[in-house]
Formats: sequence, C-alpha cells, structure tokens
Amino acid sequence: MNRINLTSIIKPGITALLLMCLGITANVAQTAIINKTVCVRGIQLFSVPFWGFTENCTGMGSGLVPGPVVEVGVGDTLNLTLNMMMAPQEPAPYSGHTIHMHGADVKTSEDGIPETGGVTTGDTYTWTPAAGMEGSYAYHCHQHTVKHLEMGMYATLVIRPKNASGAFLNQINSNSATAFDYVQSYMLSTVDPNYHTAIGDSTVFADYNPTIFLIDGKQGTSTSSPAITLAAVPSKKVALRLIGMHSVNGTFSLGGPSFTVYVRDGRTLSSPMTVSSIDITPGTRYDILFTLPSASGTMYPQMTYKKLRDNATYATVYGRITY
Amino acid sequence: MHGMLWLGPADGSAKAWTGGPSYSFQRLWVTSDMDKPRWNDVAGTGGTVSTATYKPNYFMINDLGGFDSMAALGVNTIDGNVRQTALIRVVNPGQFSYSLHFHANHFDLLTVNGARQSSPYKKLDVVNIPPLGTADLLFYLNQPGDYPMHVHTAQMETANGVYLNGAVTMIRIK
Repeated sequence: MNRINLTSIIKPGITALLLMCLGITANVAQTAIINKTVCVRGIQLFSVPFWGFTENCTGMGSGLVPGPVVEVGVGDTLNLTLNMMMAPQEPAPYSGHTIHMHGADVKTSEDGIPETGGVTTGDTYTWTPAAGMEGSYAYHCHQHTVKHLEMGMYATLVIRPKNASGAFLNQINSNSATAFDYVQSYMLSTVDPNYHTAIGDSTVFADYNPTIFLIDGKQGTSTSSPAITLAAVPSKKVALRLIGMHSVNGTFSLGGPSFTVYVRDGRTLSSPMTVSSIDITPGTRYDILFTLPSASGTMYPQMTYKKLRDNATYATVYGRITY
Repeated sequence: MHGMLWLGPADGSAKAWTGGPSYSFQRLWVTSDMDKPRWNDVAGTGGTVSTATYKPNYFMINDLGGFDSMAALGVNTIDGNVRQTALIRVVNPGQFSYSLHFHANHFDLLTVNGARQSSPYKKLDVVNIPPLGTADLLFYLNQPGDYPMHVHTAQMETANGVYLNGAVTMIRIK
C-alpha cells in the first residue's frame, strides 16, 4: 500500500544503536530498504502480443518477458512500486494491474489481489523477508490472472542470504553447503497465442492450447539452439532457480546428471533431495545445486512441458552449460 | 460418481492420524473437472462420449466453483482465528492435475497418496494433486486477513472462460 513503513526504518536503527552502545556490532547484519519501480509496456514476441514489466518507465519502450529480476536480502525491506502510466490494459471489469509477490506470506494489503481490495491503478507492495525465507519466488500481475499472467507479466523475485556487512552471499540459503560459483534463473512459461488476443470473459480462456514453450522468455527446442546458456569452468558449482509460471505440467532434468534440491517454495528442505529429475507444476519453485564434472563438456538442463490430463509431452526446451 | 474416503484416529481426536499432528479444524476437498459440451451434455442426451478427447471447461472443489466455493463457509473456506491450524484433506478424482497455491502462509505437507511424510515436514505454498492423487496439508492461520487459495493453472481459474472461477476458495483469518 502507499505508505511509509516507519517501523521498518526505526526498529532496525534503534536495535543497531543499542547494540553499538553495548559494543556488539560485528554480528548485526546490515539491512537495506530497496525501492524499486516497474511499469508495464507492450512487446511483440513470436508474432504474439505480450505485456511485460520494465524498469524503463520514461517512454513507451518495450516490456520484458520475464520482467526485471528483483533481489532482496534477508531482513531488507522491499518496496516494489507498480507505475501504471501508459500501461496497456484490458477494458473494465479487468482494467488495471497489480503485483502479487508469489510465495511471500504478506498481509492482505500487500498481496495484490483485486478481489480482496488490491488497488489496480498502481500501488507499492512491501515485504520484509525474514531468515529462513531465502530462495526463489516470483512477482506477477494478479488482475484477471488467466490472461495477465499469460501475457508475460511475471518475473523472478529472489531472497538472498547476507553476511554481517550486508553483502549478498553467493549461497542459496544460510548454509555454506549451498555456495555456488554461478547462478541462473530458469523462468518456466508457456504461451497459447489465442489467450493473448482474447479479452474479458471469453470462452477462449476455457481451453488452453499452448504452442510456444519457454525458458527465460525464449524458445529453445533443440540443444543446438538453447533458450539460455552459461559458460562455466569445470568442477565449479552451479545453482539454478526454477520458477514455474507455466500453465501445464512439466519435468526438469539435467539430461542425466543428478542435482540437489535445497529449497522448495522459499523454504529450506530439512533433508536436501538429490535426484535426477523433478516434476514442476504451475506456481512451484525449486532452488537446485550441482557440481560440474572435472573434464570439459556440455550439459543440457531441460524442461519437458506436459499435458495436464495424461502427462503426454508437448515439447522440451533446453538450456546449455559449457564448461 | 466419486467421493472421498478418509481415516482418522479411532478415538476421534483432532489429529491427522493416531499420534499425528493436531489441528483446530478440518476441511475435506474433492477436486473435479467437467467437459460439459463433449462429455456431460452428450451422455445426458443418451449419446456416446468420445473419451479420447477431454477438454474440461469447469473446475471445482466439492462440486463448487468460483464464488460458490468462496462462499461455502465452513465447508470449502479456511475460516478461523489466528494461531489455529487447519487440516486439509484433498483428493482428486478429476482428470486434470490441480496445482493448488495458498496465499497468506505456507503449509506442512503431511501425506502424499496416503503415505505419511517424514517430520520435519516440507513447508510449501503449492501442492500438486495429480488425477487420483491425495494429500493432507496442515495450514497455519498466522495473520489476519482475506486471502485466496487457487489453482495456478490458467484455464482452471475460469468457468467456461469466465474469471474468477474454477478451483478456488478463500482463506479468512480473524
């Protein structure tokens, strides 16, 4: 909501001052207030109209699909503002947009749901994630979600561990065993072009027939033309943030090698799972880690999108890691 | 022609199973879907359904969709007070997977297809119930307000394309 969160400013300050007087400053993690503004712009991708978030709000420009990544440290306060100036939108009753911080357990006023009072003409959404909430989330529009999510209004939101100086740690969570050398966000999504031109309450939205399958907003249905690439070094550790904003079933793998899931839905697993594949359904997030082989080679992380009824394959989209 | 069969402790105590996690109140959710034009309307007029094609246009919890489900107080809705816990038993006799997303708080995943999970339980905000799958969830009511619980799959948020509908209900915490 549009207000200044005084407690988030005053309380840490008082605490730090008190501890400073007591001479114990070394273990106080520095927290920050992160003010970020995004707006909405149109963009044509794959000959299909999309709406995407962007931080470039000064002109008409183009939206990004997925939108800008937002990174927040444990204890930081995020003020994520949606600027509605020049935003493409539907006519009433589904005019306007919101931001829902998907997976964040926030108050109703910060949840971005029009049906529970969320403002659709622009707002600021505040969240102060606590320790134990490290991991991958998303933010997306929650107005007429069946269309607006499909239109590309989604992006990665990450909660990161920090050291005592307030710097991000290159770890998935506070456990040093989750340290990584490289990290990438695999935003998983699907596209039914008919959903992009339909508006309002249309029977088009009763039948989802995706024909375009994406990782990080890009097609990559062959290993020779992957959606996302990473140039790495043998024996190094890679973390992937797998974020399901698709609307079908799916299975992720590295094409054979095993990997370890440390965090699911923004909560650390008490027992990390080492597996060779995981099913990723709409809305779920996984933070995974693996070590590259010691000899040079190529690895193809891949997401196979599947039908909701019988898990029959639609398509497989590939990433590529060379090392 | 479907329903739920669930087993609780023999002594009737409010626990997920004998000696299991306690709860304040319980909800029983049966998810289902319906391809009205190609299945129900055809069968209802004595025709033969082509079962190879199934494109459901209605999605429900306890045979209620959208605002009907959101208004089914004490049946579908998770309505209670802060610090209560709700045990939610879900079965899916439908033909589509239901990837259910909870706002407001994470829940403990207690069982999957009748198999008890090991403690400490996974804390999730999304659980997928595949066709003929089941799960038991322990939801913590930890902050007052109104929040949705909904399937996170595009068409399943509608009733024949009309939003806000489908497999959804409300979390109302006082």
